[in-house]
Amino acid sequence: MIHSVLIFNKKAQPRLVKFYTPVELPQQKLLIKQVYELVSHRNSDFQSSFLTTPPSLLRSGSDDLGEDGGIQVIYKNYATLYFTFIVDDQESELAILDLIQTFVESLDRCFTEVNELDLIFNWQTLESVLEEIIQGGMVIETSVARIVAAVDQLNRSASTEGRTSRFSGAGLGNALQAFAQTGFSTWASSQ
Amino acid sequence: MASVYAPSAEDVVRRLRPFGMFFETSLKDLIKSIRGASDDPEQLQQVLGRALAECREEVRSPDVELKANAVVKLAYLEMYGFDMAWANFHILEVMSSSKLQHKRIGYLAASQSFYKDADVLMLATNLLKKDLRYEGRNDGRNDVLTMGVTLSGLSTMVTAPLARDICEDLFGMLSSSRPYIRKKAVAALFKVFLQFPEALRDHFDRFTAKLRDDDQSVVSATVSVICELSKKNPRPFVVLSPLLYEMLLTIDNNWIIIRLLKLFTNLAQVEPKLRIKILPKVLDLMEMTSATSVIYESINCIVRGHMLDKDDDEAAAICLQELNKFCNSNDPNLRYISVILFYKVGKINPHFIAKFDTLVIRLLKDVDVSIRSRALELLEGATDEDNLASVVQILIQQFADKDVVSASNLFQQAGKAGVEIEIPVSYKVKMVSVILKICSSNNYAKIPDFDWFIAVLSDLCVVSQDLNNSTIGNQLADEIRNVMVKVPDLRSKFIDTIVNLVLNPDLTQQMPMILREGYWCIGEYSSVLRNGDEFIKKSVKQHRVQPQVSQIMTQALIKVFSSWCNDGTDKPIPYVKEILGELIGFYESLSTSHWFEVQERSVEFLEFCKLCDESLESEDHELPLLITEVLPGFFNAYDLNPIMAGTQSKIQKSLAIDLETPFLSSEELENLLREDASRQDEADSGLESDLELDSVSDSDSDDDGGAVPLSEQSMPISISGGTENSEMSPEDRHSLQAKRRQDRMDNPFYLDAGDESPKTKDGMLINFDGEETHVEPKSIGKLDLSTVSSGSLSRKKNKKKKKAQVLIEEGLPDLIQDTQDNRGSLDKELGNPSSVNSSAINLKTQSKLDDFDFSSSQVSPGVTNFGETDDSADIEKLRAKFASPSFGHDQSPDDEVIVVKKKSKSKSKSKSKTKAKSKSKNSKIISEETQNSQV
Repeated sequence: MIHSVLIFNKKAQPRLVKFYTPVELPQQKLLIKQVYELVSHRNSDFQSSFLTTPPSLLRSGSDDLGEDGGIQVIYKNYATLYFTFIVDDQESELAILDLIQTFVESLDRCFTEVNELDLIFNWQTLESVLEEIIQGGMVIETSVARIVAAVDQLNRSASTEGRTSRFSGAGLGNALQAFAQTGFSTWASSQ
Repeated sequence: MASVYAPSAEDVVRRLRPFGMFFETSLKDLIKSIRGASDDPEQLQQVLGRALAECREEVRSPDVELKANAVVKLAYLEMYGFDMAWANFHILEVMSSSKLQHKRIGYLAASQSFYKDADVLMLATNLLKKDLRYEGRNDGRNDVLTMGVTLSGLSTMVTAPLARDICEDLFGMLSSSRPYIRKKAVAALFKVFLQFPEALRDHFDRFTAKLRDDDQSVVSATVSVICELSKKNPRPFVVLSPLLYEMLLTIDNNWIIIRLLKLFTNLAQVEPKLRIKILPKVLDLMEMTSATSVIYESINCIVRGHMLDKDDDEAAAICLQELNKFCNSNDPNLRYISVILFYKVGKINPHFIAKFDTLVIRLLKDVDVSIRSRALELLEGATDEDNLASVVQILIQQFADKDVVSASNLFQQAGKAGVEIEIPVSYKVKMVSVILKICSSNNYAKIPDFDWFIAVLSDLCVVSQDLNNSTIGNQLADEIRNVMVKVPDLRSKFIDTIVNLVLNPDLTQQMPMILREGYWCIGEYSSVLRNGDEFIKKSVKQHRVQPQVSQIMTQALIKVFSSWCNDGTDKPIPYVKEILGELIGFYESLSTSHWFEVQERSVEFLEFCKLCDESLESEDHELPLLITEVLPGFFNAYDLNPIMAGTQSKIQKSLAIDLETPFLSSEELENLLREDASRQDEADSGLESDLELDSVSDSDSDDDGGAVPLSEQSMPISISGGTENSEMSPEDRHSLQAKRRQDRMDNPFYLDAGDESPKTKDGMLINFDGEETHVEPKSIGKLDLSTVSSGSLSRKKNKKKKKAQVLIEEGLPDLIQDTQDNRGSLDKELGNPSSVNSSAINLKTQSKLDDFDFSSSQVSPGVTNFGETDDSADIEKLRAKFASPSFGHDQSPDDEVIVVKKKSKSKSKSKSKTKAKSKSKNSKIISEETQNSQV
């Protein structure tokens, strides 16, 4: 299963921290720091996407997570951002790389030409998209179209709720309409 | 701070605006202010602190809008390390809002913070159940969305009681008309099964029917879940193999195929019969598909599923051919994972990968260090006598900090000039370790030329100083000692190298372990050392030597002195006196050491040296007997032969050793004393007798031999009690040692050797704890072991160069199997240097599934009790009293109740039942709608 999804930029600022296996906050921070240390020393142009296990994930003594039960840290670098997945051996490495690609494509679909700034200010979108791809560590959808459709549907429901409520001024109505019709991108830019 | 939440009139209006609009801007403002302050850590902390304080206020607001807004901000702030568990109840309130967007926020926050709070989860149970059955409220679409949101949030916070309560609802959702709900329910059931395996047992067919679902996402999710479950407990799923096999043949979705392959890997662990059927199919699949990932997973499945037999050359060849192709690809990812698989294939039978040595050597120069690092692991299988030297050469060259990879190795853009890459320390450490491993493998069978190997060892010692890694130091030291012990022809040459190493001032500081073993070797084989006098003069000048080293040094130097004096050449007495003076000075400087062993040994030798010094006074031309006879008698009683690791402890178990007969009967002792008294009347007879005792008692001379340096066990038999000690049974000795250890612990002058000496365990001469000893202990001679097979067989001679003879380790024949096991576990130990890791993060999912017995009779969920703590049993009682826990009970959404337990926050598990009962009296029921929480 997927234990964690971390997105951070080249300055180690977190953009998304998602743990599907409970990990205490201080340890989360430690892990992010160690993963960042490892990632930042790599040259994504010619090095692989697989990190050596960060020290905090190495288990003492036991063989459970030895060679065969190993935890893998798989990352991909897009512009200023690192998308990092921490997975166990039940996930195929190449499939996870595809999944990261799917994730990014879905984001790209939500904000045409996604960049870091989009993701900074739309953390909740990031969460929603991820929620439609991974649920509790299990991959539930791999088709970009279906992922975006599911996110749009959830957001659209927000606007219908809004329309039926008391304050629906003209300006707001326009925004909602734009929102309902074209999803995030237009709406985000009109803000 | 105005930007986050300005209490202007306009904002008050905006706050009341519909949800979506408001919270967006507010979170946005928070993000903006964080961004504004991100360059200055102090300012950032201020901003975050203020934002948090505001959230604390807002979250208490009766306005759900505002509350939701605060909760989403808190969820965001958790990314910056602010725990939001304190707001759990408020999150629950947001979750219970009737608006979908509020629920979204609530469930998102809950998934982040509810897992650690069993109380709030208990409160949430009814809400969850309600949301899962969200029907007939508004229009149908929101129903689906609410259920979806609920399922997503639910999936990260399932606990055992919750799993039991909601599993019926989830099973109901499996037959929902919407694939969206079905797939989410399937994924959510994964966590439920982990916590509540009875659900899987009772509804196995109902769940696995989803493998035939019309929607591919649902099938995919089901396969994923079964795959994960089968990792933890494969047995129940073996019955599905025909169906899964059929799916593998028919399905064309690569994602699902990969999952199926993983699943078969898990099933094959417990069902060897699968191999016959699956293996041909997987090989077919590899041929048919064009997808790299499927080919890769197929090989993975074959290898990890133990489907590749040791002698199945054909299948291995197919796999390796593909892997070879991958290893030559431009994609570093493919190269990396292929190298790992290569290693796994090689582990099944090293012979498979033997012919891929050119590939391995090329991978050692790969532009990606992590690929190099993996290629290192392959070396053991891919090296032989012919290429070992060149491989080691390549590796040692990589000790340069920067390595320029030429374009030809770059696999990509041929026109580009070389890329400079940094070689990390961890890689170098691994490299040294691997070099030692491949060179020493199979009792040094691959070494073409031991002169070369000595040079390599010496180089490695010098270059690895900067790595500052004690594991490597120990490995190098072990290797030096092993070569010295095992290759007799080489000793006279090697000892010069060792002398250079131990006298190297840098090594003294960086790699004390090498110094230790180096001194031991020099002492033990001092007879082949030339210029012992020079060596002593130089050694005694070494300063700041660690006590562990000094301890060995004290013995080594006296041995060197002994050998030097008795090497057959004439020496002027004044010069001998001069050297002796150096030694006396050296021992004097150590005789006040705080390190007990050092102190004891140096005082012993100091006294002896003083005696020698005095005896030199009286005789003019010849060396005194004390030096020519007594001194060598201390050390040269027996030859040292390598024995197999663990043999020593085996001897302890099959104890046929005569521990009764004293080494020295009182009569013999008398005689000896009398002789000595007549020989040297001026000597202190008491002390003399002790020394004689030393020279006769094997155990002591062995101790002094030094294989066994710093462990407390190796303390020489006490001077007064030589006979008494030898009569002891092992048990007595053990208890005596325990007592001694205790005494030392109480003694402020005795430093605890345990933690400071990395080699303690290895060094134990006789291991009473039954642990394996790694070092070749050499006291075997004194034990009456007729069974020891003394096989110092010579190795086959090299064509070009006469190969040095390597001694083979001696062992007890009937125990060989065991000792090999021991060695295996030891290797594992050594291969895992970072075994102590205090801040380790455990990603292993807590699950009850692993050893759940699926064959046990079906029990209705309500009755089963999984050893809950008193605390949760108490909650059960509570729930029974105030809520309606049973599944069948109908419950209209309006009169839903939430049980609020007044938080006395004394959550210690050990609290008594009476206390828990009194706590239950404080519980209150409040209705969800009023929300006047008293928590």
